[in-house]
Amino acid sequence: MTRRAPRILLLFSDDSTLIFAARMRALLQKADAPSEIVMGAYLPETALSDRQLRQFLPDGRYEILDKPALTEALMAGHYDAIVTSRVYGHLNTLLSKALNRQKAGRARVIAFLGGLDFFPHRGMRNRRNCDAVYLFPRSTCDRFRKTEVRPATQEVPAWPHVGFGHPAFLRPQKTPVATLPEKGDIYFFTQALSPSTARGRMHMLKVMAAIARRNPDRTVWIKLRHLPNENTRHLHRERHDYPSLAERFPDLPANVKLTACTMDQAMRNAALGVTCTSTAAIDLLREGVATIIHLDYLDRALDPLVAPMQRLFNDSNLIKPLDDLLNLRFSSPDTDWLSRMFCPPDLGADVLRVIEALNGSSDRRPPARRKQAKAHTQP
Amino acid sequence: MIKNLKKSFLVQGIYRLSRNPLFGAPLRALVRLLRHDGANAAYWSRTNRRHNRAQRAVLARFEAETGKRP
Repeated sequence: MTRRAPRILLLFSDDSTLIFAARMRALLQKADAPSEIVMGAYLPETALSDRQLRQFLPDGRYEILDKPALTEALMAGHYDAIVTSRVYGHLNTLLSKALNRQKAGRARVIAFLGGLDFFPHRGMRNRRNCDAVYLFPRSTCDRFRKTEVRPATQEVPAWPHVGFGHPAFLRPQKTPVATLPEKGDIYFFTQALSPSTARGRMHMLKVMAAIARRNPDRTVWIKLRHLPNENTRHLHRERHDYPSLAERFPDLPANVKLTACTMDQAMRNAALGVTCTSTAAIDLLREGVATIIHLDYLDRALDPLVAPMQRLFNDSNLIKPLDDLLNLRFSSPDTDWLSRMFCPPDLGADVLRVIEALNGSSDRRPPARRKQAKAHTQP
Repeated sequence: MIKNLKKSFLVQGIYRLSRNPLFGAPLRALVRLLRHDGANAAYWSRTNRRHNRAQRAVLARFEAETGKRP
């Protein structure tokens, strides 16, 4: 008997979730080419610009889902699974009802963390009603098993299933460089919340300008997450944007430039990546690019992200003081730390196995997909 | 949640007050003051100032070695 290709809905609503969905789609397609992957924009929480949509979905092929459409996607048997990096309030409400959870033909919900989560407690609670939850680093998986997984009973097996990994956290395939490549630019990956003060951000601009003056043969790019007029409804709003600060900078060297290119574009000619608390550090490591995490910027005491970033990257060898940053002195990442943080590259295949197991084990699926089935849902 | 908060009676009342010809300007000035980085006590703390001074010194030393212009 041939296995039916699974139909999977990938939800997104802003740049973070869209990047996740695009990466997840690539992994699932790589693992199982026949699977049908549908991209779905969740309308009530959409915060995306034309540019971002064109960048990640140039073919414009995606579904737009409002609350009733999301309910139908979950309940009506159109999909085998919904994979998401954000458990939207409406989805969580639906999953919190036993009547909805136990209904035959319901799509299984696989929830990932949004990214590097500095405060995972809330994220773990939001995901406890899903069918499978993928977390990282490994310590967070252990904590979730202890605090959120409901133990097995005679009637119901333990749930949710706990997996390890994230599409942005695949074990690096490239060996980290030991010395700075002769060619290539320096990228400073900015973050919406860190540094939190205007003078902290201005200080980072001064640092980048100083590096640019010392390295006139390289361009120092200030890699913006988004342009100042974009993402005004984003969860993390930027109070002091770099383009405005750069305008106030008196003598910014010509080889310091601002860009809103994609991460992939930045990786292509990055010799070194610098960040404060951005998860770009992970992308850099995955691509084998030399990485420096700098947390000693001005007003670090006011930044609530410094302590969790320090905790997560403490044993990584990547956190460097200002003197090392200015002189571009970096270290290779610690291998034990890497194995705790990054998952094996077959994450897509693992997710497909879990979807199959969840749909198979429940034995509640209807014999054939009823395309126009009316969803009876407990609101 | 934030959307609901913005629609709340209290927030709408504050917004109306901020447009009031008499109380609007001082209220807006107060909000600007409260939103300023310096509204956080940690901004002025001795530890923070000492840390900032040390970082500025490292940067100044490096810049002096390099020279201001390439």
